[in-house]
Amino acid sequence: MSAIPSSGPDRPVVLGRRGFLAIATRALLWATGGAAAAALGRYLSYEPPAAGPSRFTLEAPAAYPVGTLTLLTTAGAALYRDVGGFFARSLTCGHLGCRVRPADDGGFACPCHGSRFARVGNLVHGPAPRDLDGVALSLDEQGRLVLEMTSRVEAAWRLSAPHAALVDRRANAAGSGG
Amino acid sequence: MTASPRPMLLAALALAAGAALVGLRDATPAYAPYGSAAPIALVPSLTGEPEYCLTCHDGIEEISAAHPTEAFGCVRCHGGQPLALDAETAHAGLLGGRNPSDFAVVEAACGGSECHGGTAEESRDHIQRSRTSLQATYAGAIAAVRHAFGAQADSVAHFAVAAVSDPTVTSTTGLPSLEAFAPLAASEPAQVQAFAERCLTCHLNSGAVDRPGYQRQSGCAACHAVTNWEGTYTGGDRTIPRDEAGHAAAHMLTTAIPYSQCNTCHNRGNYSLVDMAFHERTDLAVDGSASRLAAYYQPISQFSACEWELDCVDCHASGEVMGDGDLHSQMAEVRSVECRTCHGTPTEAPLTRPITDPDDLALRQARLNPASALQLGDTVVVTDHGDTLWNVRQQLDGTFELTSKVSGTVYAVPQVSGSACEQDPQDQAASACHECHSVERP
Amino acid sequence: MSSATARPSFFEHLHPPSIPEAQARFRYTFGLGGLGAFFFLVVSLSGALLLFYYSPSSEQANASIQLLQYHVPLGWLIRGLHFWSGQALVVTTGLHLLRVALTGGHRGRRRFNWLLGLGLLTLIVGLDFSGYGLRWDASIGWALLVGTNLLRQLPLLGESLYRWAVGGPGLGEATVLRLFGWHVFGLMLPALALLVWHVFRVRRDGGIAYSPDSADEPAPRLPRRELVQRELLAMLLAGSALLIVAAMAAPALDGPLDPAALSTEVHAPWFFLWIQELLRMGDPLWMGVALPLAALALLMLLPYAIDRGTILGRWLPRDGRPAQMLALALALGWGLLTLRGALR
Repeated sequence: MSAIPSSGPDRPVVLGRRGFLAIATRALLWATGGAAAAALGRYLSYEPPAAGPSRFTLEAPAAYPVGTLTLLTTAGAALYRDVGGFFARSLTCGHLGCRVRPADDGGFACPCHGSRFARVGNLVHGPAPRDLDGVALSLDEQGRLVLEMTSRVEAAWRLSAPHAALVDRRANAAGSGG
Repeated sequence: MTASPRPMLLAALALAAGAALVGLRDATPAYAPYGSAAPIALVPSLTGEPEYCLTCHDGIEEISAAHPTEAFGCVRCHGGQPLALDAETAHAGLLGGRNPSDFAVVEAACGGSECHGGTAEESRDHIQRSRTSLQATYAGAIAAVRHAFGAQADSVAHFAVAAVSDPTVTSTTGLPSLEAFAPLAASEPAQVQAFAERCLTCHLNSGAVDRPGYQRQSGCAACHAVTNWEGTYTGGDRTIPRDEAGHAAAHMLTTAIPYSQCNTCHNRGNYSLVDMAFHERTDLAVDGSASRLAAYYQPISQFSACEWELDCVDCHASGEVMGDGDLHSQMAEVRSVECRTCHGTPTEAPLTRPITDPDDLALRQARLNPASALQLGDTVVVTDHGDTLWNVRQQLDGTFELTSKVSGTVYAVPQVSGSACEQDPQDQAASACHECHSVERP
Repeated sequence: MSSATARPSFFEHLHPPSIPEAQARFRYTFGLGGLGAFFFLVVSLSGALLLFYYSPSSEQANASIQLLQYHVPLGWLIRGLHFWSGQALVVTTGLHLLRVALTGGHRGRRRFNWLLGLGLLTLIVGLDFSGYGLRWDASIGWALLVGTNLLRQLPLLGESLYRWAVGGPGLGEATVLRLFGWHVFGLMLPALALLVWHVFRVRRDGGIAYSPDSADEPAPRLPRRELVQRELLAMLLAGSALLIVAAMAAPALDGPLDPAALSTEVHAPWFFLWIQELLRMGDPLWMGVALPLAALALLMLLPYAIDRGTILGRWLPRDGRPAQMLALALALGWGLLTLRGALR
């Protein structure tokens, strides 16, 4: 390296060719390193698609009389039918994701940190921040109820009973054929 | 060397070039030529696991309404690697190349007791039926040629193109097993060896002669995957070249099989035992443009109006064509449909049976065909052997109606009884009917 | 870069303040040892990254590699770098062994380090083979079967070694997890330890063996700052080569392995083609185990019983003919057998 003073009033403003090459080299290496760091970030961020089904086919509406609560353990949800129609609640606690269990008083209790929920999922108390999530229901072509676990609906949402009742009647008329 | 910054710069440039090359490769994945910007995932409900076949094969037809893509996916039938995105890895473990219904792999691809094989009732085990049928074994032709040239004393079949056995024999003419035809054995007469060299292509265990007009697949797809004259693909899958022979016209299975599909083997010409050669029919245009009436049958044939206006499958139902599950020596042992099956005789009405079981095979078959309106409680025509012609229904007023499986056209079936027909009731051979009813060819 | 009066960096401090320039001549060593260390670093880092996605179960192993190859962003690159740096490591280690044998770098106090290097070579080949098996696809089935069955042939220890390697009476569910344990830890940790010890011994034994050009003047020396610069240069170039090769050629990937239905493809990985050729010639115990072990034993004895010379720092010193002949003969034998196997 030629004797370029690194400080002081005599330091030249113009870089020599060697200085430029050195800076260019550093810039290239930093740029490549930055690209590598970005690539590393992308590499680590990958998440495989959710394994396992999120749609669950249940039985025909006729199988669930008005006023019943049916626990669906595979799906992790509870199915209700009232005079307004069908609705469902996810059994995943909104606190840190544990599966709530039926409690003695007819509601649900979370075994992890003690959150309590009412029979239709309203929050009674406990570290959970909200009620149990409502999950959407629909009917398939054969008239069976279908639960879509990745959906979210509000508490008052219902799959209307007249629609379901019509399917009940058709199913009963056709007998076992369906 | 230690002072100059140039080597470091060059090395840094080399590294940057390497990184750039990596970036370029990342941006041009193997599936890019097929137009997809990103991998396309399909999660069939049967498996719940994502399959990425559509990344390259986007645009391919759904195989059939009975095998919905969102339920079955691709891998269940075709095998292969669902996660891979380049052809070599993705197609590793593919069953039967492009045809999973080829008999070498059909058990793995289409079989299983919940699918097309392995059920106790032989009428539901379509794989066993097809593999023992004459169209697969070719046993009739082999036996006839061997008998003609003295290699066997009787005309009962002993050989098939591939060894096959049937432990459950239900018919009187059924055989328990057939050995593989070994034509190169020194004991076979020269003519039989010549037959084996030149004439063993028209059966379901083999692919087609690679010429226009003969184009078909092997196995189940030979009939159920319709091909065009040139054997080219005309569907939406971008990976399949449009000008290459050896493909079905579309990635679709159907039971509405047109006569042209049968004619990829049938009505192509005649064997001559004299020179042991196949003499192709010469009356057809080579581009496949002949009319239906001209193309349907060979010049020497006699046939009536329904025999060319309808398709073969309208009369020759699956019981005949796919067999009854037994190994037979001749077509005559399985063929049971006659003119009187639908038209009756002066003294007898056609044989019928009512459909009373909701799980009746005839109902299942009818449901596959959009033209059919068959319902529980209908009465349909059956042959002497019990094969059901579910597309020929008896109306409430006693008349008969045929719905063509391919075109959907509904025909009233005229009955012999009460008509001016002058037939001899003892002579029910087709040639007897043709004496009056045969059609003039152009 | 820092001027001469600045305090040395961490990397500079890992080196002696200066080394004789004669030790750093490229045409003398071709930098093979250093390259080996670099490839070892790359293979370890890329392997650590692969740990985030690879699943060592027989149902999921192949699928997890397909996930890496096709769906994880730049997963194909990490896998490619791991594969190519691994193969480069095997090649570099072998060439480095040959260089040391042909320049007498195993003489005198460096004899023990030669043994450490041989141990490293064995572990590295074992790492390559176990890594190969982790692919758990149809194309490695035969190689895995034959390779593990060869282990069985060893007298006394054979059956135990086999069970430790395979995890059961035959290739099966436990095998992938076992291979994984060996690859990531069981063989890796000793290899790392040997590598550190090997490099330490190089320093303690006086650095790379060299001979001074003339005895009177003090030999010119290379300050560590320049040495580190050269090493960085070599790493950048080797890194570029790895990136380019990884971008242009991906390691193979076949469908999942079914140990009960091995495919008909019967060929060993490239570094074992020589053993496959030997096995074609005769009894597995003699050809597959005894002969390779004998070759290894000869190599171990090379600086102790075969080589008697003292000249250091030269290519093909006159007093080293027996050792050089042995090394070249073994290398030639390996090369010819491998070529024969590859051309089939």
